Amino acid sequence: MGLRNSIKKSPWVSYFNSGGCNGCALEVVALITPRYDIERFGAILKSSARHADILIVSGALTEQSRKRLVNGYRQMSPDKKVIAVGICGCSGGPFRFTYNIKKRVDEVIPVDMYVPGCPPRPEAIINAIVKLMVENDGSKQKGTAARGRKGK
Amino acid sequence: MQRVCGICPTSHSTAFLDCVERGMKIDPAKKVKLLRVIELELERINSHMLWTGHMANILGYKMLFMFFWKEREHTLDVFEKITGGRIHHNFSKLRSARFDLTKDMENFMLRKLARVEKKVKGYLKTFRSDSIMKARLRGVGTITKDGAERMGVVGPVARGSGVNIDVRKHIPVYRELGFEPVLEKVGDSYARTLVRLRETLQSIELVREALSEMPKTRLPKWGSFAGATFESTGRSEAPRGEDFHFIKAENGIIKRAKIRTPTFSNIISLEGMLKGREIGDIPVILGSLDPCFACMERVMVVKDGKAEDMSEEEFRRKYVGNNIPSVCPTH
Ligand code: SF4
Repeated sequence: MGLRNSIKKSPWVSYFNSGGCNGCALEVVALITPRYDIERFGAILKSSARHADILIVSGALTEQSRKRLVNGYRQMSPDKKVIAVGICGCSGGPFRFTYNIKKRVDEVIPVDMYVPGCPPRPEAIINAIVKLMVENDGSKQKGTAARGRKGK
Repeated sequence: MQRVCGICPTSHSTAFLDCVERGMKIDPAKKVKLLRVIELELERINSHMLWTGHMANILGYKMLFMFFWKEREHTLDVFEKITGGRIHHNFSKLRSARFDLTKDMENFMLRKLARVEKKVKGYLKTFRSDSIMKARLRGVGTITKDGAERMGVVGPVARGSGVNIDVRKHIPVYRELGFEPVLEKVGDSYARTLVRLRETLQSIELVREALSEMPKTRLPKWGSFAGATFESTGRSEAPRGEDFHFIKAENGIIKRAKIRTPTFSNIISLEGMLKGREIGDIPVILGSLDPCFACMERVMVVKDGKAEDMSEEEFRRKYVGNNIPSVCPTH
């Protein structure tokens, strides 16, 4: 479908903080600043998940934010990808066994790419975005990756 | 303790260590104190630049936002060089620090700071001369000195109204460095912006002085928390104001911890500031307080005009359920 093309050329990225410490949020915002500049890859940061092809989730998923994350995820375009950023997003990290955290991000929505680190460097996040782009771009890859992922 | 916040991790770890060291009656060496000063001030530079960029964005200056964030990367470079982490530094240790500064690091720091200082001076000039900035900020969200004192606001918001309040002026090592709080009189958003920009320059100066005063001794050994029993408080000046910690520990295990963050006391003044302003001013006023929304989420249950008192067991039963393991399974 046409939507698949948008991820391969110019993915729009939305960000959701599900209860992290803000460190990952800062590194995600740093993506649009001159030194990292993800607009080189055609990606822009969008505040609304409805406009986005890729959702970046950070934070340990508190009980309060769980419904909102699922809600936002449902409103995205059908062919969507999710990147979990930071050890909080990947596993719950330092907050894992606290009282208001019952589930991990990937138990609630499907996650396509994990970026560990506390916080990961902006380069690592760019790497994840670019990898998703390449994975979706069958024409540029030969061999295994050319088959691409089956849509969810 | 660093994972409390991604913008002011060092303030929290310093306040926590202040608390523990007071409780355990440890007095760290001068060198350690100076290293903490350097960390705190670098963090302040970082946070204030981040905020000013954000403020410029609110005012519609996307370009200035990018400029500030570009310069901010240089302070992050310094952090990375001296501690290994861009955002979370984990630099302070009980009674000591993780490592010493080498000559190479010092030179790197001075070089980067000189660059940042030059740029910030230029931007300060922009803020002082640009008529659109003044039109958007002057007289917006004013809080008088009396009002600020009554509301108990802290940090740059209070200093923008001329209230001389700053944790740093009570700390001996800052007094030795000749620290004086930056004050403005008017109390509007413009004054708060100027306070933050001037504090950035002041912090750069403080880092330089701390570097020049640094004794050439070796770092003391790290202390241990094992077996400590105390109940104590500690504080530090975070970029947004006073950060206050309370810790109760028994046999080396923390039984209770309470953190009072600066935004919690600042946000109360918002109501008075908004009165009589236009809708378009709301982002500017809210932004000028430098709010941290997570820091405002505190709950107090009030019933019949009285705060509800409950024991730990009651609290668990009522709000948490019984699913907190009392000891973390990984430990
Ligand atoms: S992974 Fe680290 S930096 Fe990111 S939100 Fe969690 S604690 Fe903060």
